[in-house]
Amino acid sequence: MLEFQNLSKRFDDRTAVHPISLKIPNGQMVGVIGRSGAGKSTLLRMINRLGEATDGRMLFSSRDITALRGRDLLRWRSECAMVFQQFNLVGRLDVLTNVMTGRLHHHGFFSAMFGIFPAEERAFAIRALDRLGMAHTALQQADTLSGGQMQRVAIARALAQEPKIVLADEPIASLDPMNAKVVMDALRTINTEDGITVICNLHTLDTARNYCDRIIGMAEGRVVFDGPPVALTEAKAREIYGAEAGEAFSEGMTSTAIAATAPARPTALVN
Amino acid sequence: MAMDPVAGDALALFETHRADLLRARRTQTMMFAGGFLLALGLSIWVSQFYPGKLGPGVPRIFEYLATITPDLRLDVLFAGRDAAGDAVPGSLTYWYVDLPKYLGLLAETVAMAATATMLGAVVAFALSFPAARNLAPNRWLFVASRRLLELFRGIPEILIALILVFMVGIGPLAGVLAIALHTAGALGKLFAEVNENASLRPVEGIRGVGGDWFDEMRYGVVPQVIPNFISYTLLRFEINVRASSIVGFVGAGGIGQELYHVISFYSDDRVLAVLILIVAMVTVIDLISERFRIRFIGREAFV
Repeated sequence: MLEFQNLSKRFDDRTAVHPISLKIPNGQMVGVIGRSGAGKSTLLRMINRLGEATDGRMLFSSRDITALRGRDLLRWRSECAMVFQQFNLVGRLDVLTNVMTGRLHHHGFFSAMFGIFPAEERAFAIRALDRLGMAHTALQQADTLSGGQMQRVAIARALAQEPKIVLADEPIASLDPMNAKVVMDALRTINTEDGITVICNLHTLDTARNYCDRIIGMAEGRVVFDGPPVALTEAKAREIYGAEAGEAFSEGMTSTAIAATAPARPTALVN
Repeated sequence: MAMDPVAGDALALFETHRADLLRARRTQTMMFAGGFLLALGLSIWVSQFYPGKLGPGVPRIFEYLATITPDLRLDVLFAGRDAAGDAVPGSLTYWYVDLPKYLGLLAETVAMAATATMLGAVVAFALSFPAARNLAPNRWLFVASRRLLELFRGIPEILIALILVFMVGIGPLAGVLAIALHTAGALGKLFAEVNENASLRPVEGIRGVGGDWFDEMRYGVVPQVIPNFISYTLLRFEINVRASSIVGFVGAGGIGQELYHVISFYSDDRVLAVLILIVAMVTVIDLISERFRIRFIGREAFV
């Protein structure tokens, strides 16, 4: 269970995230939606401490995450994998090494500096790549891949961390609809098959509806909606996206996706 | 085409802004030009760089050249040694009678340059990460490594060599250490600048998997910058070959020591003999190293 207790983030003159308190049980797939600048990324980056919270606490299995320092902080990051919008792979290294960097936390100084990865880790990495249909690219340099392929490698790297949580920061925002679907399917699969909690920032409402158990809507740094996809009415969606009353608003406007062939839940609406 | 009043206002506003910007830029350019001319005039005055003074010096250059030019005779140019085993005056053999010694010293010079480049590059590599503004783990380490690099490259090699000759004695060791120190400073700054331009995305990726600062540098930065590092190191090797033929002047080994010797003791054709060899060596090294650099950067497709 991941628990936020009045977690907030202020930049110099502006509050990016107002105090947020909520609980995310293990194994849930959560979609965080909202306009650009609503505080979604800031929130996500506070979870694995790539960004520091200004105030409040965050607990995971009753361990205070916000207080972690040094080695403990690095261990938390290794348990809480991050998938980035721009993939953040090391373009000049081959795909396999990129995936194996997911194991770096378990290495000592010398094996890390000299790039000595044992055979088991190599096998683990290949299996992770294979689950995402990317094993055939293992020896290719990462920057020769297409965007969709890079994101799948990035997810394989996250899997190599054997994480308890996967955070995905706009994982499909730079991808075309087909690749977006492949990536979202992959995230859903690791959620259902491995029981890993997935927290995913999304631009598009319909993707969140199709793939997530729970949707958190943010507007101007506040949580304005928190519930299952069915509870997200048009009025609520208007509030999240800040559409004025009377202004035309349709979910299709935020859509980039092709209708999911395997909806996450029978209750989810398919647009 | 009729223009609506709002668009007309926007256009007028834009034109005013543009005119302001251009005026400001012109003033700035003029000020820079004026400042530059002033500085140029001042430096000419201070260094007394007047053509009138240069003129009388020119014939003296030729005078000296004449004293170091060998008396070669065409008829015996390629003559070997005579029956008694002596070289014939006027032949190349006579002029380059010390060639084996020179070649040995040239090899020593190249070896000094190579060793110094490698030692310096290792130090530069280690310091270039804390010396990169956006990668340094903290401000203190950044400032400390920057200052250290400045110290290394701020003192001319020949001065460090002079001091080291007193410390470790006459010979190549002093030269190698002197050049290595200067190389560490010069390469370290270049490496740090390459590091500062590296993309931070891979670095963030490695931070995200729970890697420490060393992991971030090793996996996030090094793969991006290594082709540039190699290229700069080869370039530095070329420079160091020249440097290592100079540090001998203060007794720090290599061909320079011999050059100093023949200049101060004989000032005859042996000076030219050594000079020609130095120029030939530097040219050959430059050509080879350039070939390597181009091939390496080409293969890595570094842009």
